Amino acid sequence: MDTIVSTNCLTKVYKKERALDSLTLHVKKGEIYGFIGRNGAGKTTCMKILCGLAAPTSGEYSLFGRTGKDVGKMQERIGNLIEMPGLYPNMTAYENLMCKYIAMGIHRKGYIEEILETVGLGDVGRKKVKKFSLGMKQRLGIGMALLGEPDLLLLDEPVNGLDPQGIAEIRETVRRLNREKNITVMISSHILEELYKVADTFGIIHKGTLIQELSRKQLEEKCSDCIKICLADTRRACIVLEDMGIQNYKVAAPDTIHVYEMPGRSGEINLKLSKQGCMVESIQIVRESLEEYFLELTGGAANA
Amino acid sequence: MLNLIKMNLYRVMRTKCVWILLLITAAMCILSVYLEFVDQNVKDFESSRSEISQEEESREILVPEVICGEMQGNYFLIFLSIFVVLYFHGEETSGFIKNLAGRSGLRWQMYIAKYAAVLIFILLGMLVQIVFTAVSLFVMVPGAAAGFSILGSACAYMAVMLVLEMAFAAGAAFLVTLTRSSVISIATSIILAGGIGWMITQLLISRFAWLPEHLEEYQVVYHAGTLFYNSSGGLLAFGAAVGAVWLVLYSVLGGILTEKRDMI
Repeated sequence: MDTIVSTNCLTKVYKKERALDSLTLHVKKGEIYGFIGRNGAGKTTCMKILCGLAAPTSGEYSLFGRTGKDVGKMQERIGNLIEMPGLYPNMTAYENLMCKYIAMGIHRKGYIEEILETVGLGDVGRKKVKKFSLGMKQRLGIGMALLGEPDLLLLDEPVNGLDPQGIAEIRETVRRLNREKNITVMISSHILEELYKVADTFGIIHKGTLIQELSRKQLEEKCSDCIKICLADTRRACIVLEDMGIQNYKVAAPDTIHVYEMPGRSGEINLKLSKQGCMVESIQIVRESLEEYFLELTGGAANA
Repeated sequence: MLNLIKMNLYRVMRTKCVWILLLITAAMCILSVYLEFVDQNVKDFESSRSEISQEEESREILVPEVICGEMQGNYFLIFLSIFVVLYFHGEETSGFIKNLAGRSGLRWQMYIAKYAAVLIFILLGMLVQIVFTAVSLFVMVPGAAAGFSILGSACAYMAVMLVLEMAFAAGAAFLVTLTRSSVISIATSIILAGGIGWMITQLLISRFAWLPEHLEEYQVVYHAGTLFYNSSGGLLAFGAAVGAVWLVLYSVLGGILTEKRDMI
């Protein structure tokens, strides 16, 4: 599959703050790429650079196989929704779309009406944008991004502030666009659970660096069932586990071990540990949640 | 570029502040005519303060002359600065600029294309001043004459004022692009329209002997406030040239700044 977006050691420094630090990622054609990170991780900065709204301090990126000066022409093939939708509040939805329609030199009758229907705003009439709900504004923002039939959509936290119905609608819209129009979508969020429902590939960013890039299947494997063993002496327990041939485990805490293989043999593991003098306080089968996985990768709930 | 100009023409006609400011301009014209020619108290007050001779007082009131007098008063520059700052900055504050500015090579064009909207506003402003001043005069001042004899020079004067007002607008646009602050830009533009530039120039000349004596002649506001329809052709041409130079300079600086800087 072709790579539509790739960055190579992309760095952005604002005065003394390093917003992006040698970020390297790849987005394949036709996929939905979930870009996940905490607030301030660098997701928006990366998307701004890809859209051409900001320039990188160093590093490079390619769009549709083009780099350097040629990348500017490829930015015309991108539709974006960065942070809040950029809309004139005293104009109607139709008028906002018309502004971009005229600026892009499009001549296609009924096109704006089509876009409004696509995003579920076909019946807003002459209502001004300042009277729209947040969900309506987000949908109009997506409509603005779709104008011009982009090949790549960059959506920066499009579900922020939406109610569950609004979130579901956005999710369905993104899936439909990807499925029916083969638009590649790069969608960012700080809510892994939401992205998990829609994305094919996940890029986890932390402090400006991509710490992991994995497919849905890989993420599922990482968040599968595991045996959670609570005991005092984890060091001795690790020796016992390795003697049993168990390699896929991790010491999650000073008094906790997660074992990712042989989930059906927890009794056997308990017996072995007891025989070797490891006093097990508790042993149970758990599923590591996406949130726990994400927090573990990004340094834990420091602000909890 | 043409598409961006069309977009700005579409947008300016749907910008509320345009119509509000033009309405205020119309009201100012009517009020100005009333106070200058109709209200007896004001007329008596002005007569007692000025040394206008009987002959001058009974001079024919020519409509184009009064219109040019309206344009010479710098209050329209204040309205212009408000419009320009709000219009130029509105694209950024609303975030609409994110929808278009990502395209490389387009940003400076987006900046320059907005001048089409400024031109429309100035032309509409002039039209309002012409129409409302003329109608007010014909309605309120029985002796007002059409003044066809001075129509040519009045038109030449208006053309120069157009250039000067465009240049002033370009300065306000550059200021808001630089500072990204509507408050600073509007306040500074209003103060400059009020003539502070002249005072600063005089101060500088008094302190630094090497500066040209008539430095204020290179300022847009100076010409906007001193030229009149009966100024010599040379003065009008010089005023237009000063305006044109500043217009080009501010445009280039604004375009470069827009191109080089991160948009948001």
